[in-house]
Amino acid sequence: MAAPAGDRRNGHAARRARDAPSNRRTPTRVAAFALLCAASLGLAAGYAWWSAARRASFVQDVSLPPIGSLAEIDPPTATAPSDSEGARTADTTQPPATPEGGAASPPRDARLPEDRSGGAVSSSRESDPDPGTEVAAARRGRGSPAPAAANPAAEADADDAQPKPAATENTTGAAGSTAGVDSDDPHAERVLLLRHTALDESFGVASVERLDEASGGRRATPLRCDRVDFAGERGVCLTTDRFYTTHAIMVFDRGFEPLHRLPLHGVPSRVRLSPDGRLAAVTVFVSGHSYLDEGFSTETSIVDTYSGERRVANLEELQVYRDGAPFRAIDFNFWGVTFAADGDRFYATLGTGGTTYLVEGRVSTRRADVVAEGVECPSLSPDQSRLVFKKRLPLAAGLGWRLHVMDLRSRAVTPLAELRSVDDQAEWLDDSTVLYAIPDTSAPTPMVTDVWQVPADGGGAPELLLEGASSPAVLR
Amino acid sequence: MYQVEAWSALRRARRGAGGGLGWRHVSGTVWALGFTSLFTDVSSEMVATVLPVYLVLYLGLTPLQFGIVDGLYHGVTALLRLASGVAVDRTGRSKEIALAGYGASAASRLAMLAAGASWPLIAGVVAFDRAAKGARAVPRDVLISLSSRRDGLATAFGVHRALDSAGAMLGPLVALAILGALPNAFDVVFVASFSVAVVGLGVLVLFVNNAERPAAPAPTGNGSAPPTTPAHAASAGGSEAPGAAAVEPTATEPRLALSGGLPTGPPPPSGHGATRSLIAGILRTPGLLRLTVAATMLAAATVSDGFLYLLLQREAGFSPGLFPLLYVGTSGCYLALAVPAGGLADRIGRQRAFLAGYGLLAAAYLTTMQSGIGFPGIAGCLILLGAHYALTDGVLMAFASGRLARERRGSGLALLTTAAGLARLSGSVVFGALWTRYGAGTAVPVFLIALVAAIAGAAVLLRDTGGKSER
Repeated sequence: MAAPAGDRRNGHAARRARDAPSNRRTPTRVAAFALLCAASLGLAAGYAWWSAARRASFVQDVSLPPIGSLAEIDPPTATAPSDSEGARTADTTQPPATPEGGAASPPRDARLPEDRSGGAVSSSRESDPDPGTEVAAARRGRGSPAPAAANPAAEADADDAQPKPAATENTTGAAGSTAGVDSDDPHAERVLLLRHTALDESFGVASVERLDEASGGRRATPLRCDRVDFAGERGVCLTTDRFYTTHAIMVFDRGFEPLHRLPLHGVPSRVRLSPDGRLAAVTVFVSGHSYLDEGFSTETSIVDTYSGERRVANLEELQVYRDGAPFRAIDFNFWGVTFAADGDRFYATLGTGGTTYLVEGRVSTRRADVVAEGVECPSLSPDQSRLVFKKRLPLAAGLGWRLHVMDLRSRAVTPLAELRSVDDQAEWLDDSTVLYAIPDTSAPTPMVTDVWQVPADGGGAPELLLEGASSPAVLR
Repeated sequence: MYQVEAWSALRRARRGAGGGLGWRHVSGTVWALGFTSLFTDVSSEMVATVLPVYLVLYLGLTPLQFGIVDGLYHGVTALLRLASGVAVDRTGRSKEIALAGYGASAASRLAMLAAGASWPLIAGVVAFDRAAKGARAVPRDVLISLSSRRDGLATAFGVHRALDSAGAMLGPLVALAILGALPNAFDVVFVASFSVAVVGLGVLVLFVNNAERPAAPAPTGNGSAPPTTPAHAASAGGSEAPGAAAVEPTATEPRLALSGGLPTGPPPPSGHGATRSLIAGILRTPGLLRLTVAATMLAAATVSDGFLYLLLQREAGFSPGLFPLLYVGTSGCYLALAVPAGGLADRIGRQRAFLAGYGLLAAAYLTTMQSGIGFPGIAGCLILLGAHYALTDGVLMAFASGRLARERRGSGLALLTTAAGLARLSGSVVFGALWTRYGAGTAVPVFLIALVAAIAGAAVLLRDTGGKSER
């Protein structure tokens, strides 16, 4: 590189560089830049609009008719409507405490369903003048088989301090109620609270549906929930707000009024109330999004639905015992809680070291014991005698679970007739049928699910019960 | 974190900008480069601040997978600096090389969109983008220095860094706005990031002119090749500004305080013999090896901000859409605490202040371990992080540069940067692995202990560096 030539070249270049800006900063460049800005920002805006439209386009315009309160749902009656009207006006002004005393005679012990149910139903059929007991009896006799009736009696018993269930859905008098016991379809008067999952404007809305045709179909509550349950006087809705807040527990009452709101630290997974509605067990994913994710982590807490406080902030606080010895590990995950009728004892799933266990515990003692292995998301039957749960399929059979029922006394496990994988905590429609949600494979997204029913004795076949629904909660 | 580095570079540039010409005399090319950097930083920070949320909470990647991506994010930037510096020196086509770097980063936004949920692809896109970032730093600074008069160099860099920092702060706010209007619309964030990057590219293409190499000055006769290259001219020009720590083209180093105050030109282009003697000279530099070991230890025990914010989000449960605010918060705390931190360093000595800064980082780890943390806890963590950056940012590079002869500075700092970058990478991967396998309840305490041990080790190693007289 000869120095003089280099200097000359550099001199030229320097001059060009110096002069160039003034030469080149022509309006053409500015115009080109403006055009570029407009084009690229327009691209971004257009994409944003298209993306938002695409999300919204899943939704069709249908939306469900509203329902303002569970009080609006009337069960059908075989007898004159006058009975129902009379009872309806009566129950809104019922005194809270005394009816409980009247129905308190059946013992709380849930282990002898036959005796309890016999006792309860028979006492309801006697001429008990107390309107509260009458209504409670009406509920019990409302077409459910006798063992199931025992549970509502126990629920009523447990609610000494709580307002009497308005029981307006059981607006028949005692006479009218017993007619339901003998009806052809014992499920007809069942009222379910569920999450609507059809692709329309009401997607994700908690809805109420009665299982007979005369009810007028599904109706939308004001609540949007990822998961919902209702028992006694309280419902719990796990919500995900879309705008700068996150997941939350929302406790509501019969009129769908929000009573308490607590923050959740993860994606909602399961919620289950005790039969008296006082305690709610809530499971969220703190990491991972599903039970199929590797290394998922859950957090389960128990909330008092009346005080709005967490009774147990995290089930990992419990003392767990296995074969009598303390059982502790750093990777404990609890999920899938189901309460017994006394509202204190519960069953849950404990996952640790790649194995899942069924634990049985009590909220009051904060203690749980391992009782079985390979049981996930148990749900206790209304007669307290059996658990329906999902059992992990062996890896060779693919990813997923199959529903089984375990008899708590004999520990016998029966697979149910549903052969598809079920990732859900099942719900008992009554003592012989379980409900669960399965994604609708014909829908464009697995968010669309249907609720199916299958007999709990392992026989029969699955039947589609509710289209476009999930998280069924049977109101008892 | 990049925003902090951007602001620290600005502070250093302004420190050196006393005297000389005012900013009105800064050439149009420098302004154009500044706006290119502004738009590009908006684009990259938009994506960077939502990346933890996008990967872990939205796509559901495990912390280990996120740790690998995060490690690449912090460790890869230094990779192409050297090569691009050599390319600039050899070919003189700074604008084209910078264009390639900016263009590659813009393309990587769309690639991120296309990568979808496949985390190896995502990791590749992140690595590609960060490598491109490293590659364009030197040509950009060369262009700045060649387009400015010697006595206006500090001001020119100051202007550029100011625009750069403004972009780094704006980016998360834009992401916040997009996610607020369209929740979980990460694809929109990526496309918007791409379009802003294209605007920045447009500024570069239309308004920035390439500058040719100046004539070679006389050889310095010290056995290594003379500093003939524009990169060296940039470094030479930079170091002539008041205070060698004033001007620095290295605002893009990994977060570990290795964004030094010093220029890093490439080593003189010569044969193997010169290179070998260069390396030997570097390794023989007293204290440099100890500095490198200290930097590596501290970097390996560092939990990156993305992880810390994820832990905070887990404990506090606030909406993922607010994630970018955490980055803005830490940057803000850094800005507020930078001057007091400098005062503290002057009083107790730079080295002690540096170690105290890492102690603050350990305290920040502690805040993420609190369960049921609320807004005060989050604010406390951000303040601790900001103070940590204020006390530690650039210090190690300053220590190293103080010991390296000028002609070795580029390579020496590159060595330091690369070692720390690799340590950051491994630290992120290890933390992610621990979190995935054993849970955050194990991972954080392990790193807390490791960090305390690293601080103790660094205290021993840095014993005779950084007294009060050290700049």
